[in-house]
Amino acid sequence: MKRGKPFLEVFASAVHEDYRFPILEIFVFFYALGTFALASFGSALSTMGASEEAVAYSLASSVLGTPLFVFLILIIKNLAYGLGSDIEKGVIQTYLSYPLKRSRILSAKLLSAIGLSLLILLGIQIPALYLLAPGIVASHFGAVLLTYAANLSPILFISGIMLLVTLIVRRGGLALVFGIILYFAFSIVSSMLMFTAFATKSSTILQILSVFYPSTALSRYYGMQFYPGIEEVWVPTFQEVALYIGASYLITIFTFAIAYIYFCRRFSV
Amino acid sequence: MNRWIVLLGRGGTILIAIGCASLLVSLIPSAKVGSFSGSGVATGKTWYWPYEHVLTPQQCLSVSISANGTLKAYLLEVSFQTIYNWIKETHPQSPGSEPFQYWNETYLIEFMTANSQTVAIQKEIIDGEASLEYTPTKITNITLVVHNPNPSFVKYNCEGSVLLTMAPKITVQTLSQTTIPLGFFLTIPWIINTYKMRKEKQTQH
Repeated sequence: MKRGKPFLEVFASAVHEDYRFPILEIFVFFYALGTFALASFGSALSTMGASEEAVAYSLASSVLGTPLFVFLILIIKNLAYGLGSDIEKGVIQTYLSYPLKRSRILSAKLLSAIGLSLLILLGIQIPALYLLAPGIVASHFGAVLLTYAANLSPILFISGIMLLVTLIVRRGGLALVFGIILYFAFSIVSSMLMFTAFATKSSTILQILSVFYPSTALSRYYGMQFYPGIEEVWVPTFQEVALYIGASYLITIFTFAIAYIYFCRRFSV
Repeated sequence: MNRWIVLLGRGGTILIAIGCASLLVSLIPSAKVGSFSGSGVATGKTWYWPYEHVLTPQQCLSVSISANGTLKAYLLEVSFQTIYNWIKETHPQSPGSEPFQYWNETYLIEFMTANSQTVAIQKEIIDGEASLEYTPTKITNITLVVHNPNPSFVKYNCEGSVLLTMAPKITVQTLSQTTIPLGFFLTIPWIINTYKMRKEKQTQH
């Protein structure tokens, strides 16, 4: 057997399981439709004197709300239901018998569960945004990518936690419910923190929130208002925004690293 | 080989899904969010600006102009204020003291020569009607300019509307017209393969 072929075998099997016809096509259809249906220039136009870069940010943000939730559902399905079921039914045992390191087995599963989902989301939405507003997207592509990076970070963090939970509890159904609860808990807590920051005029709360939700710092950087008067509370510099995005990804990488270590050293079927 | 057929086939179905989504978007009708109309007499060798607006890439400006002589219509990607300021800076002596002079075609031609990138559409109307349609690629100020290059008077009438669309119609139509047939083309081997495999399974049973 060629080196790398077992990896491809596991990856192909995971892709086959995660994206059975027509699941992938339905998601692609809704991502494409959602981008056009949700795209809005409203918030950029309502912000007086918004720069073209802020318009690019606002446009990219407008198409990320519901599709990000759908993206999370796809990851939850692939991780909790897919990987969880593999563990529950003992399919993972077959993979472990392959001449392949455990870390590479997990990488193949994650490449299918998260990597491909991410590729679909970005591969559909960014070209669709370009079709919609080529002048804005082409000249401020960096701002568009930064918006995606900031918004995807909490979703990937939740995915990391879910992966860990799936490996520990070894039950697909339980991990699925946990993932949904975790997402709602994160959303509620972030909204509450945001309101508290506004009520107490505390920049510290916004800074803490930005470590987990760097989109908060990015939206403040571009001058988007969640509440009237919040601009007086905190306006980060670009370097600070980059730092918050970097920190949030470090936390996410750390979570995945723990899951990898657990799978390689502690996980037993 | 079989895996390649599956890969191409799924690529094809993805293209069909993208095509169907863009087809659906192109079928959604546009909404009229603004309109204007006006008529007047254009004095010889002068220009006027019947309309200005800020457009987003989701908005399309549709204008129809009719005239009983030769007129030139321009759609400039700047606000009227920008044109005014430019002329004021370039010819500080003219506007104000002699208002009529301000609408002199020389100033407009000078502006368009110096800022040629701002001319989005240019059309000539000769004893009849012409229509302009414009969708910007970014949030843009636009000014409709009517220019009478003749020494004589020309009567003109213009009507226009701003249409709100989900996406640029022609772009999404082209996308669906390209991706759906290409998708079907890529899917055919996969469908045949799947059909053959099913038949084989049925004969085995």
